[in-house]
Amino acid sequence: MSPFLLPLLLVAGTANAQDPCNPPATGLEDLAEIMSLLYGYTDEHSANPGNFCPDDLGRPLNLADADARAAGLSEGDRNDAAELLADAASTTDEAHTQALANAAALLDALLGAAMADKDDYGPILDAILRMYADTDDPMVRRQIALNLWRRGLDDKDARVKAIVEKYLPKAPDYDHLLPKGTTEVNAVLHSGDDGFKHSDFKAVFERAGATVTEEPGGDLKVVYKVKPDDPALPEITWNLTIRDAGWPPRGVLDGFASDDVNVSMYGNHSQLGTSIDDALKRTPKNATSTDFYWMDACKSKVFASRLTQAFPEAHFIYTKNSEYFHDMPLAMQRGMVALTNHYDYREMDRYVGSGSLFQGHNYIYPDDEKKLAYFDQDGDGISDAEDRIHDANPGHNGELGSRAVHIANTYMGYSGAYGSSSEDNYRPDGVFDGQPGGPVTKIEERKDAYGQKKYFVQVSDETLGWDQSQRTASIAAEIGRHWGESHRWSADKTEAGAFLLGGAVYDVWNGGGYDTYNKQYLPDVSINKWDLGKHLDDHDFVTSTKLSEFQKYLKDQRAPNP
Amino acid sequence: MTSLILVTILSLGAARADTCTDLSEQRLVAARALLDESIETAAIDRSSIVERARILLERTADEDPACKAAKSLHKQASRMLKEAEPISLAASADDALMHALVRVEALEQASTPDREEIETVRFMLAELGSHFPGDERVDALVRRVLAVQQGADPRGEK
Repeated sequence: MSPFLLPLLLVAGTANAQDPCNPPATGLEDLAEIMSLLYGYTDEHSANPGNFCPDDLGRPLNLADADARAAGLSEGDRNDAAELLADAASTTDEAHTQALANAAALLDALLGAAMADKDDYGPILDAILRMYADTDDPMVRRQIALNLWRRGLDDKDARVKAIVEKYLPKAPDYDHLLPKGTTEVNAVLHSGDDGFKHSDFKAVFERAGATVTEEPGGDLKVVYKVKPDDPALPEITWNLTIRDAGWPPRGVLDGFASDDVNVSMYGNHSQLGTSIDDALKRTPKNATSTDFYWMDACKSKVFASRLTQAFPEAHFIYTKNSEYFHDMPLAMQRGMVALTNHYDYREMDRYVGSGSLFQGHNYIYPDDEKKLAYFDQDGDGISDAEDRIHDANPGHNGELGSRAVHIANTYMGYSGAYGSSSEDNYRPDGVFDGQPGGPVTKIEERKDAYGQKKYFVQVSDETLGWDQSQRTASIAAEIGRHWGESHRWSADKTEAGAFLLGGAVYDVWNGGGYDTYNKQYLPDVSINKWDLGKHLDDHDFVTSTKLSEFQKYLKDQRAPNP
Repeated sequence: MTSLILVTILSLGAARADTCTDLSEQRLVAARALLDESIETAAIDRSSIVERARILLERTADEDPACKAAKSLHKQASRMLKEAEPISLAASADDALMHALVRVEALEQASTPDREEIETVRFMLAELGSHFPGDERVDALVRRVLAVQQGADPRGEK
């Protein structure tokens, strides 16, 4: 430890001086100083050498405070601190995930300060990469890699590029999907009534030369031999089952991340993300599977936060926007050709999206960093694009809030009154201690990880126990209100639009808590949810015309009775 | 077609002068076959097949930089792609419109048209309309569905 650090120490009583950790920590003598410098517990913390336990590093971390403290250190002290943190991490086992995650976050704070000061950040980066190599904890490794991605170092350092690619993979895991010698692959496409009715699976696959057989019960069996363009690759016979998963869909993850099926697809409605509810209940999670799934429903990005929690290393392809039934079978058939040709994701995007798809580039492939905005791996309610600390035990299911924010975004995008440019302006930003009957969101504007100005939405913990319709509707209504106020809508229009935006959720899901929703956001007018539906269009969206009519309706309701 | 034959002849000539590996030569043959196929295939698939040829040629050029024939054929494939894309998209629209027409006719012939089916077809046409604004064929189908809907539900309510 540099002697220059010593004067900075504020020594106080140890957190638990009489109860040294068991087993005693070794090699952490100087960590006390780092804790004092970076943690913000200087008034209560001890620099008592040798008395630090891994758990001490797991205490709640105020990262903004740590950033400020790191910024105040000299280059030499930052480098020393990074070395010590990496040493500390190397003696901390996986049982202390939070301690490791905090160490990684503190290292990121040091790196950020060094980069801001244009110092040589090499020693800190080396310490971070050493920690990455030393830890086996998959969530901590993920956090380290994404923190380095956020700093833009994957473009500058080959070592960083290699570890970031694990989380933003450039290509499907062909060693797993099509191991050497593979000539046949089983695949499944989960669809349903509307998928069969509106997507011409049979014609598309037959035109491509496949044999399509209708099974009793309505499933289609497709045998599709694909000769790769590259003579160095083998021909693959795809045995594809296109199955009717029913409505609401059942088992659309059946066989996924198991030994049975490595390539799966979904081709039907999203229903604001609830299409995977049943599947997530019945399909075991798998932390390491790199199976491939084309999630081809409208705006299936709203599925991402839950799917990445269940299958953090699987390769899902999501949609950004509505998906045409016309495009689904074409995308699926081309997906098989792309896999047979061992395309990477950029090649897949070019080929699948070429020409005849109405929205050829509607897909978020696994290498697309924008996907991180929809992920919430640790469930703390903050999107992975912004989340610098893996929260080993958030104490609440913040994913419920982040999902609701994403659904509100998609509904604004669908709704003509708000316009497609309104979509994805709101980003989930965690959970706050709310009050019963109080606001359910706190919204602030700042730049996101991609450098764009966005509105960050914290969600009240009060909402996490509500029916998901009420939670989503309330969050959507407050986001809608914020949008109206930010865009100088009249108070009447803002109120009416916000109420309709949230009310649309009830028209789709028909869940509980509507009366409370009505009282909270339209206290002086009682309107039942069936009548509310008449103020939405056929697809439950808020159009400009319907919004004007609803404003008039509210005015009439409030007019004094002669 | 003429331009493709010319390109094939030119690229074959170039390949002989190059030092392409055996594998690259095989890939060039495969890429040319794809470009030929793209002319003969259904218009809806044309651009995607040209894109496959382009990707194969890029891989060939990356792995075998001395194989100049791969680069020159790639240039030609890129020109072909520009021509093919609008053709494929138009064919795709025709395909979707045919699909919609069948559905609209079924609605018109039904003694009691299904309300959900009416809504779904309307939704599909709205999607088509947003993708091909001003397309008279889409507008005509929308009017026919509206007529069916008014017959099915004179109040026009949801």
